[in-house]
Amino acid sequence: MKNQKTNTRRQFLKGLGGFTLALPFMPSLMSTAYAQSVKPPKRFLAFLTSYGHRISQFFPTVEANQKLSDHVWHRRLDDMSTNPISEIFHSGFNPYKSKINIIRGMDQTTGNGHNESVPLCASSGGSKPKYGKSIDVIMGQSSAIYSVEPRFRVARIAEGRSSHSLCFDRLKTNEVISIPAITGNSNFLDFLFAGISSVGGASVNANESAERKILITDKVLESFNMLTKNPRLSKSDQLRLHEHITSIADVQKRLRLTSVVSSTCTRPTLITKVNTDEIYKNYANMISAAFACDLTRVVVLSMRHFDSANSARSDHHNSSHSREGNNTSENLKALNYSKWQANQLLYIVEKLYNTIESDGSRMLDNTLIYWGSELSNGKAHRWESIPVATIGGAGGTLKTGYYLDMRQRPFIYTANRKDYPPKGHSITQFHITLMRAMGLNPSEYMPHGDGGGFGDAISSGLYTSVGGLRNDTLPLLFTG
Amino acid sequence: MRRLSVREINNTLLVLLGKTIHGEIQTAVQALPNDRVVADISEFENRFYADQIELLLSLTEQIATRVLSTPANKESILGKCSTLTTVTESCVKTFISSFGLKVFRKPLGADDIKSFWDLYALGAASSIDTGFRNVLMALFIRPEFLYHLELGDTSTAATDSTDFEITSYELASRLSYLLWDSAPDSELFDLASTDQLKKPDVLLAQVDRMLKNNLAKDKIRGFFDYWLDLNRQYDIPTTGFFLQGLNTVGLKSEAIREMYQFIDHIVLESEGNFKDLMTSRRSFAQTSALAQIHGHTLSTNSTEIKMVDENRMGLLMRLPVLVSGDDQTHPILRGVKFRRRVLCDNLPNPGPEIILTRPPEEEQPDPFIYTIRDITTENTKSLSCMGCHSIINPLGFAFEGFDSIGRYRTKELVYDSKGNLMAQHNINTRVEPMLSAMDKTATNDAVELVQSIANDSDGKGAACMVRQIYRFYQFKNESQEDNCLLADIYSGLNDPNGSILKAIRTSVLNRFSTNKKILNENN
Repeated sequence: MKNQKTNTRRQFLKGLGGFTLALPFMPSLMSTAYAQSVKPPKRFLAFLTSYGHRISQFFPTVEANQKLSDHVWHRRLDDMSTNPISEIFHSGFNPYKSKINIIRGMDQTTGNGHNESVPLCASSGGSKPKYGKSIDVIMGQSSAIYSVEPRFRVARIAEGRSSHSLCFDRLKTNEVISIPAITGNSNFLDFLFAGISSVGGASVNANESAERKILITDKVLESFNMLTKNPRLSKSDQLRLHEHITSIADVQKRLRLTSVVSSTCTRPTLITKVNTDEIYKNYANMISAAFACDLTRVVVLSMRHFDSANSARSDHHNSSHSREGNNTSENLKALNYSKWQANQLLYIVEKLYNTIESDGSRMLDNTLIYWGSELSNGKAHRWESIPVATIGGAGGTLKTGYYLDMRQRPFIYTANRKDYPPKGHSITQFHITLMRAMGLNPSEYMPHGDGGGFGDAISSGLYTSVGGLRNDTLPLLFTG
Repeated sequence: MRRLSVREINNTLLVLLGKTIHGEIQTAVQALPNDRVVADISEFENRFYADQIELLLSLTEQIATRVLSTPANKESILGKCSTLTTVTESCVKTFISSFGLKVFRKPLGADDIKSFWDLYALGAASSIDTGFRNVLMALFIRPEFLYHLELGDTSTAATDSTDFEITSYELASRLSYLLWDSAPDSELFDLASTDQLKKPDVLLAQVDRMLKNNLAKDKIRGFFDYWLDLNRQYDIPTTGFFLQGLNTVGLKSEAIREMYQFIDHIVLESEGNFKDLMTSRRSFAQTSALAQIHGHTLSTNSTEIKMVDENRMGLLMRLPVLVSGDDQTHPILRGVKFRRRVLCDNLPNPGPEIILTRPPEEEQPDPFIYTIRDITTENTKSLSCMGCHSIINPLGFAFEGFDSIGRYRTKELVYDSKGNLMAQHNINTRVEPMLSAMDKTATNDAVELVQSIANDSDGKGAACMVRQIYRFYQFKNESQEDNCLLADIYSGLNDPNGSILKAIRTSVLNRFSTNKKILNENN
């Protein structure tokens, strides 16, 4: 295939334009590894929301009643009869109870409110993690997830006040960088489905466009390489240029995959926006289509916290940080926003559930959806029992349908403050479970941390009894 | 070496391609991830990640497609080449040289011209348009377009020095991006081509000319957006009992428009200084709602000058600065903002051990009985909190005379969730703001506080503004090596005839204007 493409490029060099390239269209090679495997691939979707939730509204209203060990209790979600799981996981989620896990007692053990890196990194370095990389980056680089080069290793969406994503990479220089994400339905569509037609397969001009871009970036690489030799560039500038060169090479790899797209892969049509809901419906449709086409297997969707289209919820920062207690008005406002977020998630869940894979399985069962945030209780900026949930079985490596309560028993509280959530276990266990469920080997994530394992988990006195578990998977759920 | 921001790319494309084509490629420009800096200039990721490079490639494709889409577009960019039936090598190379100069912001070398010609020839074997498409796409993805490169004249000077003179073209580019966020215009290019730009009198005249351009005005407004985080998302509260009949339709956009007009007036029209910015009572409100908030009647004619009432003054007492997004004033957030942004105090976020000292919610004072000031004081009374809150809270409390949409008030009205008025607390705005350590001077309200900042003999507020100007215009945080330049900017602002405009001018036109020092960091 590589040689064929090189030859074709040679043809292209001789003259692009008014004729169609003789690039063979080979459906049998489409969908990269997906088409070669009987079992559909595993996919990961991180659905991230800012500023936490009211804990009482997020977690189940009933206690986990089965003891697994001293600090681990659980309960089947489907033994709750027809009752909704919680106020946020309302009755709309009832049909999916057997596919959901809600985990309580996942703590950011180094403690820090409003740490954007927590949802995907378990680190506390401020707005950027101190240690390691975010799990989407590690998954994107994993050979367990991609045995051959994908079109996109990770696709990232950030709706909000800027396209600031919650994803971080660590460069060879040890500098941690924030990875940009795409904002806006049509931008994401054009990005993810570039070169794919609405009737299926690569669009007429896609190969031509890709070949031209490869040609031009080849030429441009020469100028970048020349520039790096200029003695008037500082070392950091030279490093930056080398990063740019590496990124161009990554883009060229993607472009070479343009023709390798299934003839059944079609560019989705965006539904017209009526209010903010349609934005997320469109993302859901695009994500499921991208999974189906195997354009990517890892997606991060960071939701906006502000919605001026609806004054009943408007700003989740203000509502999640408002007083709790008996202030029903504030509680309702917070619930409104969290439920609205849950509804957007529910649409994605339904979409993946109703998508049937080539082997007859449901896409939801081959996907691991993770809903996470960086805070538990907004007003107090707490980091104990950060609200986390999973939906979908990751192709069978994750038991689902559980409320897993990992709070330490008997309950112990930071500074004996009973108004804060009781202490639990390090959230690194949760992240590691996600990565293991996706098939990653510990050697792929263990180097990305503070030296003691993945992420950052400095144990305070209250974590002594469970501190040694930080590199373990969660009990009960991970099936190996 | 810094990459161009998305704003700089967009502005540059407008200059290079003209309004029509620029309008046609906006979808592709807007697809680039937003890199607006919100709080700290170091948030700017000075690199193009692979996703961004792919989007840039799509943008270059769009540019080429639109340029080649109509005879008019072609002519506007390709010039003579677009009308020839047989396109000659000379014509193409002339286009590459002339258009390339604008894209690279410096003349192209012979190797570059040959490289682009080769690309043209490769495509032209199929069609002339394909040849030009190749050239156009390659131009806009080259490092000379995407990065601010300052390498000096390496052909004539020793290259092993860490301190060297930049070229006239690099100076033109530096000036235009510092002042306009955009590419040099033809006048700058002409002066660069004859090496006239480095002459001090020419340079000074050019900076003054550039500051009169609307692009400079946009950039100055952008500075204030950055300085006070004025682009943040918020809604004007809609609760009827809170608004008490105030018509908020269009209020947000009018308040932003008015604030920009105020900034234009202070900085550009009257060439005001820091004190003017802080204390001027000029109002430019054009709707009855904003006029009501500013405490004056609506102007009946365009020449009538209106002033805000005696309870407010200057930039900091305007709605876009004071608004919180709900019906609470949030004095801590206001205090933190003024401390960090207006006084440049370094306030760390509270660590977990400090948050622990906050009293439990059920023990917090009842808002039906206590003011938000009382409640905030109670919540932050522990010694560990007071390390920072002793200087945060007073600034927030001084502004308690303004509600969460900036209306002046003497009573704090407390409603229950059904809108019943449950309490009316007298507001106390008297504080000891501690503008400097050990300063025990008290102020009675926000007006007195702002006057103190404006008149502060230590010049803390003015010095902070200087640092913020430096950060915004130089696109980096200051370091020890920048002290001399910061001192120059401070003089520009604080000398007897100083002004904000002079400070901005000094930030770009100073003893370092024509030099470059290689540092092994992000320079």
